[in-house]
Amino acid sequence: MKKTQPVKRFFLNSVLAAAALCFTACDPDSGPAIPKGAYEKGVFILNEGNFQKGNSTVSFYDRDTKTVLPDIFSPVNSRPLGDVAQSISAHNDRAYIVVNNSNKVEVADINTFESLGSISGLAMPRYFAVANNKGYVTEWINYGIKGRVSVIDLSTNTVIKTIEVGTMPENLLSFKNKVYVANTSDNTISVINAATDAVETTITLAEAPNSLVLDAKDKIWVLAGGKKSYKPDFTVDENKSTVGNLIRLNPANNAVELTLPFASRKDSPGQLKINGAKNKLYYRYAGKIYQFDIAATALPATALINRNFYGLGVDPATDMIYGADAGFFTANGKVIRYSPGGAAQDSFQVGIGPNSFLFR
Amino acid sequence: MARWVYFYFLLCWLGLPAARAQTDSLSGKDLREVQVFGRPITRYAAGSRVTTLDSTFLQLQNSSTLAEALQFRTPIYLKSYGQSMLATAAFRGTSASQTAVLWHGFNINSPTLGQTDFSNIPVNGFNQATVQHGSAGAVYGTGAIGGAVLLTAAENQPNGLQLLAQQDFGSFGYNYSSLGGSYGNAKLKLQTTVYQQQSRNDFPFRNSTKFGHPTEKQENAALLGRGITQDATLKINPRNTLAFHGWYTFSDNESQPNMVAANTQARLQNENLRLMTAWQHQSKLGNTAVKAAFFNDFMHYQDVNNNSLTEVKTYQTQAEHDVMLKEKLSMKVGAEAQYFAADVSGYGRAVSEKRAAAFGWLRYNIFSRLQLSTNIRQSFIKGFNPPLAPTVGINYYVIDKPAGSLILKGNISRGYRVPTLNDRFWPTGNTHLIPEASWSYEGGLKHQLKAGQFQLSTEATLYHLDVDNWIQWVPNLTGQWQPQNLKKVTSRGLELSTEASYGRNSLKLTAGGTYAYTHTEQRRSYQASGEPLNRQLIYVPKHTATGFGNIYYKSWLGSANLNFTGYRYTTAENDRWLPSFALLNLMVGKTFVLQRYQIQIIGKVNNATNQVYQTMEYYAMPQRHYGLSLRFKFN
Repeated sequence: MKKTQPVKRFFLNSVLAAAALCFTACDPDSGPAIPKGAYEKGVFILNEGNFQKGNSTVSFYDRDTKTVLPDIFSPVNSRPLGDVAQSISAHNDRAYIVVNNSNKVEVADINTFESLGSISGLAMPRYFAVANNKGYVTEWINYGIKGRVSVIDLSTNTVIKTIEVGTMPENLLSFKNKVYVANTSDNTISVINAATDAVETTITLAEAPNSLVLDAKDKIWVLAGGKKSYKPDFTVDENKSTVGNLIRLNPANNAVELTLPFASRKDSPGQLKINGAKNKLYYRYAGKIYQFDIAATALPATALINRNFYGLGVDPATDMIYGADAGFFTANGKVIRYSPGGAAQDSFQVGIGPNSFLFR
Repeated sequence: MARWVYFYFLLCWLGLPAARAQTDSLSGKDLREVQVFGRPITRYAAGSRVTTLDSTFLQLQNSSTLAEALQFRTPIYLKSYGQSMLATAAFRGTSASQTAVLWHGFNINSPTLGQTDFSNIPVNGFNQATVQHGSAGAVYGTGAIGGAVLLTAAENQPNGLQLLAQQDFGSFGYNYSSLGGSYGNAKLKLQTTVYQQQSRNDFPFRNSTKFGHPTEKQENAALLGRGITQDATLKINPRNTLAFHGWYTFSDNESQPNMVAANTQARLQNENLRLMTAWQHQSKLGNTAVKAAFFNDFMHYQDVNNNSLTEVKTYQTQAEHDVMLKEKLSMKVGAEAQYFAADVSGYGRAVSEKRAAAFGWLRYNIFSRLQLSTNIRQSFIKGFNPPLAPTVGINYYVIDKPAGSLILKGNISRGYRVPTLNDRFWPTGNTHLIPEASWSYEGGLKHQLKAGQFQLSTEATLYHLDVDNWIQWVPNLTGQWQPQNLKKVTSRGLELSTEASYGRNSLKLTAGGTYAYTHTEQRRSYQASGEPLNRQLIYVPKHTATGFGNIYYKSWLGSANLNFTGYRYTTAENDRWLPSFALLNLMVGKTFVLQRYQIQIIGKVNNATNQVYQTMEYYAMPQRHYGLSLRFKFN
């Protein structure tokens, strides 16, 4: 390649700089968009696949062109994602995919999905969140015993500390340098201080908290499934079971401000999500999808969508609702999109066992 | 005529699109001396395809498992979850529980799972193995939808005393020892074999699922097995014979984790005791046989999260009478009863079940060139009855000469499979299941040629198999897995086989091959499973082929066995698949004879071409590895 002369280069640079200045001046929002990769904008769908089949995948949906890429991890990395991917989250242009039955978290460049490493040394990992520039992974370790949260050094992708929490910790939420962990086999939330990486408080609220979101008023909403006891044929024994609850928690003083019990002892509410304005909650209950205004003081009686989904998502950019239908897990699943009002719009096919969404 | 037939045979063989090949195919009556039977099992199975694994092959492979034996000699696809791990069959495109395995006429499929783990059946446990393709095996009862595998001990055992000792060594810490003996005289025949087998099974493999594809040593795949077989036959007098067969196997195997999943320290223990006794009586009225059997099947699966115990005791009895009604007409009638007592930790209660069946088999040689057999079987189970299972078959000898024959074959049969104990008694089981039912149609040509010391036997079969009410476990609305009569499946295909042998002085050559084309797809779905219709089912290879060649020259022997397995889809949409592979196993041996003592040394190279392959996705299999077998014989 021919080298540019110093003078020429100076001239060229000046022109470019001037042009850049001019362009940025004309466009106060942002600089000229240089694409970082194919997945800068769109919806990631995590497909857990089948247990012991190693066929987890991430599908990508482009909202504008309405096209789907069924598997974006393995083609670029020449290896499968893993066995039973549980959850996907994003931080600083990186995707963190918790792969439950491979006992790992895969780290990929979220724009290209090129692998950047893998976090190992985990035991039945579930969900991932970032606080104080460190990663936090909930882990069951095993059924019926105290779980833990592993603290991850995000520069080396290694575990630097483990913190014991309650039994079967599920979703976790990072807010103001604190990490709130839902202990789904207990009735508690463990609050971890991300400065000291120790459990600061344990809040008792209701049986089986499974998911939690932060609203526009900086309140944490917790969805608790209720304790379920099963008969020998694996149907719920209603006499020995408790109802689920939707709970509003004030993180400023860890006080439970509101507890809204569900009617059924049989059904467990789950999959708590929030819209872009953070003023409407969505959840799954008794095979239907419900919407709840954060100002409301009673649970809605009628469902927004009369259909059961394995995974649920609400696009913060459009407030469209995404439902993941995993079918019988023997074939590809599909995603059905609904308007914010709950009217079905369209659908597309994804991988086996779609369980969650990540919107960008 | 002969020339026409020959060219026709060539056409079929080369797979050229001969329209008439629809109903024609070629293959032999049993020309091989290794196929000697007291009474052929195929006597009442006119028109159905039967493959007999030759006893020389089984003897050379005696330290391996039935999974490996079938893999190298039949078109059955063995789905192996790792090296020497759980292996289930896909026969004519059907599911793991749609192949029946019988031992001395008794079904040995696990009553809880409804299937046989072919890696858990050591070849040393039987002397003869016959494979009946298609639903014609339904005459033996439940589960024979894709086919049946029939195992028996030797019937023609030499007189005198014979002692055998064998010690094998192999790669990855493989070690196999066996001691055996037999004694026979005009009245009594005894045969005993004891064995123990061990392997670290820590073969290296490239982990294609990890970053950088590192080479790893296989973890958690060690094997331990031991067992004993005992056969005894007592000829009380020319009319009465008593037989006893006992077979005990124990295995304690680690379960090889797949490359991508966490190692959960899974291990599987199996203990199978099978005892049976038979009394045979011959009179002017025909042959009567009364058999009784007791099986105790114990299974213990454990990993870091699970601990599951299964014990099933099966008591069963069969009575049958075989009579020559006329010179050309023979008939067999019989009945059987079974009692299962299952103690399965997952059921949460003890479960028992009674079953009964009655059958009638008829064989009629309408004229010398035409044989007809019709069979009928009805099973009875409390609560639901499986469908009536009739079979009709013909053999027509187009040519029937000492130097060669050409047989036109045809068979129509109905098979069924009773839902397993797990299907019905597991806490989330389904008591409303109905039995799976199949209709199988096949036609073929079998050609045999004998010219001096040269023998050739070739067979081609075309089949069509419909399986309805196919049972599959699927999640229900609350996410619990439950079995359902989910779909209707159609399988169609072509099976070709040929075998030639030549012997002269101290030279003996045998060679052969098989090819199968299998097209299996879901035709109807009774629930919205999302599984697309009319696509090849997963893990059913469209093309499989085997080939073998043996040479015996003076005291030397050489043997080559080849298996080719075409691509198998791993997704219902047929958008992902495992690549095809070819496995080649080679053997060279020499026998030293000193009076009544005989020592044989055999060297083996398995997977000689160093093929990287998987039969189930992400379960590593070893590349080239070696074995040495030392065998001592006294007779």
